[in-house]
Amino acid sequence: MSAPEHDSQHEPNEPFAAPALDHEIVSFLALPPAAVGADSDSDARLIHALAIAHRLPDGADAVLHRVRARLSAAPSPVDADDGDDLGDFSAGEGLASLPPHWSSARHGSRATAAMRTLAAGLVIALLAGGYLALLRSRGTEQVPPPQARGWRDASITTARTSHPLDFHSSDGISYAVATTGGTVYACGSGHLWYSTDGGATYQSFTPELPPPPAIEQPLPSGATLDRCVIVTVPGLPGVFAFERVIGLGQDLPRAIGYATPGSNRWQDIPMTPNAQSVNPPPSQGILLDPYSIAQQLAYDGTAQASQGWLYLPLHQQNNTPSTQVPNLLLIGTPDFGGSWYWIDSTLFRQHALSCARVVVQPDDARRIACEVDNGDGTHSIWLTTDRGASWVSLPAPSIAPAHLAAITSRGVYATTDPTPEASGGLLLRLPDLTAGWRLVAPFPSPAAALAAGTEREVAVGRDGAVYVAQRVSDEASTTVQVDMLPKGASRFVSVAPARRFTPARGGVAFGGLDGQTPTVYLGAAVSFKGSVAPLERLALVPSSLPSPVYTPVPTVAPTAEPPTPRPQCAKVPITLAANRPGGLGAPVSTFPAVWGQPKANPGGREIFTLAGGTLTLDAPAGDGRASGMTYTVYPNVTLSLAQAQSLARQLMPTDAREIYIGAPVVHPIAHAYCSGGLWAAFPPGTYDFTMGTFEVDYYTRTDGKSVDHFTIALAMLG
Amino acid sequence: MLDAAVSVRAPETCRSLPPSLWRWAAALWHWVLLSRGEPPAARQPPETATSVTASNGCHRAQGEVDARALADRLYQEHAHAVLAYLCARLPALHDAEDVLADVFLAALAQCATTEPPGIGWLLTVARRRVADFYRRRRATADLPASFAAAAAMGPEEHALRAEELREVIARVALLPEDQRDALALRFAADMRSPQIAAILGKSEEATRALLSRALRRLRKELAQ
Repeated sequence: MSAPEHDSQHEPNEPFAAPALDHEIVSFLALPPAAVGADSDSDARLIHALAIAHRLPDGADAVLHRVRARLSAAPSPVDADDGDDLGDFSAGEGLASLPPHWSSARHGSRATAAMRTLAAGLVIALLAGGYLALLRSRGTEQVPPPQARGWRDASITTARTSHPLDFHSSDGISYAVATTGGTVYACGSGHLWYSTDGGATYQSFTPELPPPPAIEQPLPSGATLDRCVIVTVPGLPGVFAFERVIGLGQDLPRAIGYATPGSNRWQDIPMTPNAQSVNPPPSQGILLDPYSIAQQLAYDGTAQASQGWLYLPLHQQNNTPSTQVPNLLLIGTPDFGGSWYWIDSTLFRQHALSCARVVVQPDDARRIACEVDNGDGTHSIWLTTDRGASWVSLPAPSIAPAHLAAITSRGVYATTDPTPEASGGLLLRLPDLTAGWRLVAPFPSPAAALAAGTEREVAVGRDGAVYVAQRVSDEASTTVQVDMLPKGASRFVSVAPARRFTPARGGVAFGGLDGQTPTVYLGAAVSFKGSVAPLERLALVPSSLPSPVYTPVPTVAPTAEPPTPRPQCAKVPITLAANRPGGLGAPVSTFPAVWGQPKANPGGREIFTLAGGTLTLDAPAGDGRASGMTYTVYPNVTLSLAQAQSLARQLMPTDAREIYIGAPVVHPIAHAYCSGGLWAAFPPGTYDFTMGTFEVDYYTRTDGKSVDHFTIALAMLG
Repeated sequence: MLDAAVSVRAPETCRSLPPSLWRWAAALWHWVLLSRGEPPAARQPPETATSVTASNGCHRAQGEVDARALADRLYQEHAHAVLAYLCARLPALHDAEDVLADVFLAALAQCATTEPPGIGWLLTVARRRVADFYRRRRATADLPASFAAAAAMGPEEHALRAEELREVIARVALLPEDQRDALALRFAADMRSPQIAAILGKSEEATRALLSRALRRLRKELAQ
């Protein structure tokens, strides 16, 4: 104390006397700032100085804005179902912070209160002790903190194998990991192997990959056939295999099929022309050809499966009016390709939106969430709980734009971009449509070793644990960091700090998240050629624990009755005999015998007259075979669509088969076909790598019914 | 696997007590508090005359929407004052930001379960958070955030001489804790003596005397 302080309430000229203090301070503050100069009352200057010293600093407005956003994204105070997802804020802090000075009438004497306190403490201790004992004896559903033992090599070249490898590892090996079941698949030079113990041992896969079809033409020089494009789909324990020709400038994959270890055969993915929509009207105009499906499955990694349904976003060619079919649509099949459904047709028709990224609930195939591009640079998340019959837009978190991550029975998970509060972004969860987004936890910031351009993979296990792998690669190396959020925790914990691998590894894959051994793999991703880099494995439980027992699942279609295999374009006999004289793929010289002498030959094009119109042929120079044609109806002749289709049939190879349903009867009408005869006429490397596919487009007159002209041309589909 | 994990990390599993057990414990503690004459949170009345009153309240039965709406209204009305108080008590703006978020999250929880809190409640929680802050870390010699900002002001931003303002700030920083707290509530949060009294847990007379002593001391020291 610098001076004796005394109560000055009786000092009449003391403005800081206690009784009138409030009034005096208000009076001083009411003085205009200009009146508080150097020569003004020192008390007034003191009060004004205190007011200035206690002003909000610069940046306060931004703080107020950010905190308000944090509150909006805070976990629901009402939904206290499981007590987790508290993020940065622990439960009960409001109670702990209550004013400490409450005073009210006592209930009983101090001795009674002390006894009650003691009794309550004993009861709590007994309950807590009992619970701990229960944990020891029966375990708990909560995931214990991760106990990773570091990365180890899970490559087939370093593992024990049931018999010597039947390929040379220097040719490259492709790896795929099944999220469901955790089986690791390895393929080299067309030979497939699998491991059910995380890469410690590998066995030869049965059924073996079928030999290349006999219809294959000799590959041109420089081209090679890759038969080791192997892919897994979340929700399916087995592996999809594809083949592709490398070196021709095209890289269209062709499906071999799907199989699980020990099954009898490779399951085809048949294409069918009777694609239909889950809601009427039918999904006319959807292009379903084997190459589009295969490309989506093999390369995009966006397919999802649940309860026997297989879903995938499918890119469409722009050969149909945009108001009819979007460029990207979500299709699904319950019977492995026997029939396909346009899942987001309602979303497209009602909101002109379509799914760009989709996640499906593993235990409920009706619950699908998709992220759509709103067309204005923003994204939104939509949810259907009835497999596409209706869609609802999920609220946008106020704190930052959200990106779809996963959907489980606990709700929809989303990630955000970095925020002022979390440089790694936030993990949010929407438990149900009536609640707001809840903060699960801020993502761990990537280590300094992970430079800009870090890719993040997020996976949610069936037990509610969340795994995040952050990876960055350059030409020479890959650096990866793994963190985990156990169920009920509010912060991620480090599982494996950032580690640099050389040479560079492929992508990150999670295995065994369906209740098996959670494992992270590095190097399991589709690449253009199998990599020679090893597969790395990081188990999230002690490796001394018994490995999950793997029971081979027989290859069966998800429905009880496997669909009858349907002929595919690639499997029809390739023979020139299928080409009709005077038709597509036939030598131009055969046309006069069928259609009469050409009426004109402008620019090397032959023009014939037939059935009330003219037929103009296209033929690649030096080949002499008809690669396309246009039939134009005379103006005074009326040709119905059915008549035009019949005429077009007479111009196609005899084995031509429609491979997708035609577009609606509007201008133009597009039908696609495949033909082994056409493939024989125009094999890969000679003219165009169409694999025998072509397209017929009908152009109607203004009446919308009669045909004005139609074209038949080679078309590379998919 | 689980047994091993539990045996090694038993303390962590304590946090995983099921909600039902916590509710049991909370009920018992509620009973104890009653016996000691300390009303638990659910029985708190609004503290001050400036409490926000909502005709529909923010009871749990009305769901999260009402609670969030009222919490947001509380925020819009009082966040400015609470942040000003925090800036006068904490060394950095980001510290004040964190505590501000904590205070209003507590308010949100309060809205969802019981009566809507008022500015007095908010500032009381803020005081407790400030105390927690300084308990968790060593006392810092840094000026509070708002003091530092004011000390950096040029004279053109106010009518006072810059040296005079810096002298006041330096003297305030040397005041006893309770006096600085009272000044912050008065000048930053714009509370009056009755409200400050409720927040500090003192009588109005004692609060006025506290403020009076602080101002008289400052005046005396500045005059030297």
